[in-house]
Amino acid sequence: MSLAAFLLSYGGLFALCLAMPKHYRAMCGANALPPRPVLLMTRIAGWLILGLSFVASVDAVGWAFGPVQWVGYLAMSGLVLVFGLPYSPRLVLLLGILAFLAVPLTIILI
Amino acid sequence: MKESFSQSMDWLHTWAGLLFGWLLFAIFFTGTLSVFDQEITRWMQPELHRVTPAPLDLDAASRTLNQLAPHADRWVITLPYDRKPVGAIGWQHDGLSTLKAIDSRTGTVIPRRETRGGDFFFRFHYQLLLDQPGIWIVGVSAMAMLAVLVTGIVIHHRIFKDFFTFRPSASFHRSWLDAHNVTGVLVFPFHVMITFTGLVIFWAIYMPAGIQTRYEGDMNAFWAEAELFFEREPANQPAPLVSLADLEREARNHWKDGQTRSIVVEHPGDRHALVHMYRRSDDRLSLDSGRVTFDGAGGALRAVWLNENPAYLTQSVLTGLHFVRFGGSPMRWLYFGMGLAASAMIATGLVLWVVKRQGRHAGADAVGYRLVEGLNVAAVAGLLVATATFFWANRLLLPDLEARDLWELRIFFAAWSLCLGHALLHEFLRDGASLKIWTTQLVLAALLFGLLPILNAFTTESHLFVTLPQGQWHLAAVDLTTLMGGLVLGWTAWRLHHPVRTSARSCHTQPVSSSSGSIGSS
Repeated sequence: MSLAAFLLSYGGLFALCLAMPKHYRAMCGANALPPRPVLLMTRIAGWLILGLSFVASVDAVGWAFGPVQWVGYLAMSGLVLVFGLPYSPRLVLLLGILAFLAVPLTIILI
Repeated sequence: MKESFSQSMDWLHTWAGLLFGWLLFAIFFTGTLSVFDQEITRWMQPELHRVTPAPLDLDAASRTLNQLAPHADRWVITLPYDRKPVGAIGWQHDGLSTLKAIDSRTGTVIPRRETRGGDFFFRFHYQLLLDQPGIWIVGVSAMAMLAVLVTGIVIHHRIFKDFFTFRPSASFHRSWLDAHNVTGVLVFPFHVMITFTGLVIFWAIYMPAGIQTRYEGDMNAFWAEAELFFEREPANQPAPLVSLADLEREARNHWKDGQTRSIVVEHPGDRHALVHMYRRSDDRLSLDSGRVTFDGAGGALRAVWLNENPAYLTQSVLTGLHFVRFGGSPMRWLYFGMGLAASAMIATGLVLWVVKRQGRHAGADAVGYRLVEGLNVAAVAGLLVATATFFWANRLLLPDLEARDLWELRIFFAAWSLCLGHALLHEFLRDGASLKIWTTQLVLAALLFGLLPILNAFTTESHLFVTLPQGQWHLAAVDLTTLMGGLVLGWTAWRLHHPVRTSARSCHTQPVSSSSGSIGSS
């Protein structure tokens, strides 16, 4: 379950990143940009997934350690995302899609 | 004052960051290593790698102590557990402390090389090996860190616009600033938490007013009340010590599924001997989780303290958050990663001070500028070289050298001083050689760290080819981490000479004037 919490924290940040036009272009091509409502949806999804990662983290290690672990996961997955983005945007994208797949799995398991 | 609010914040961030940055980098880097202090100590004592873990026979340990130190003021027995599979005994006599590893079954001393191990980084982290004055210096630096964190957020206007932004191909200044901001913002909760809790640990030293007024400065009176700490003078009449194993069994009834961490015997062999049993706290946030005190001569229960007082428990939880004894290896790796990010934030901040002023100080008038450049290299790269040298010294010094642990320290500080000398010498004797000094010291650190697993293979029998197949992860992780560290440092050094050159050189034309979180306004 801790792995799910990590993937979700990455997925949440990834969605928030995708919702920013300049980062969207970096990952999906210079001219690609979906309409505003889609970006807004992505942003909302990002926050929801971050919330879900908190739930998954608390579920994995309990109320005492869960929040601490969640902050750590956010920081670490954020660093992977940000420092990965300029060097290998495709890999960041791929990992993001993988993280999205963890969402339904987590909802079933919690 | 015609300066605006954000300009004065900028000023504070720049100068507090610079003056305390050198020290803060050392504090944060050694603190990051201290997360794995037990693992480092274990790695540095290869004589103990072969010992198979077993539950400690406390009565055997007590017999050994009775032979080795019958007249000591205090005995300490540390029980083995997963991070530290070999038990230890220690004693204090006339202010001198001794520590020995023992065989868990027989209680006999296992000879091993003298080393400070991870404890050196731990002590340097909070007191710079200067005792009380060091604690004060670190405390003042922590206060500066808090100020720098707050001002950093204030002057970084574009936090949300620049979120997730790192542009290695942009200008030198821009890419360092991005790295500084990213490591600052993404890990911000950790920075604040670790700095604040670090101050909370020494509340009694930093803010003694409460104890001064309520207890007239008598710390022992305070502990006696807050921790139900029970102390007494020796009676100077001999009396045999009761079985520690029996007492430990009794103490465990109070632990609620917990384990005993250590046992302290005050005035062993005296009629007034006291036995304190401490509970291990790795199953909870709070650092102090319980103590049971017995009469050493009769075995009567004297005090049970389970840390349930709200104020004390709060302090203990904050302390525990800092020490990260909880959550096992995964949590420690998270702290290690965030600690490295914090160190990187400080290092990039120091570099930025120089980068922002590059070209502005040509000629001989730039003594201060050169000094900062030299100190930057020595504080960051020099410390890395010294740390790696410390690990090398541990393997290369003869195991039975007199005052061996001190020699390891001397070599550490000698290496650091040489790096400082090298940096300053080049700064002042050769113009504009700063990039070269960085590269030299980074390459040196990269080689020392990267080659450490090979040195280990030649000097011990617990190298990667043994530890990996046997699944001894606690040992293998040290070799693998230094190897990774070497690669990253080598890559950094290479990168300094081969900046990313893409079409984005034009990033210069981007609105640099928006100076997001720039330290020091241009």
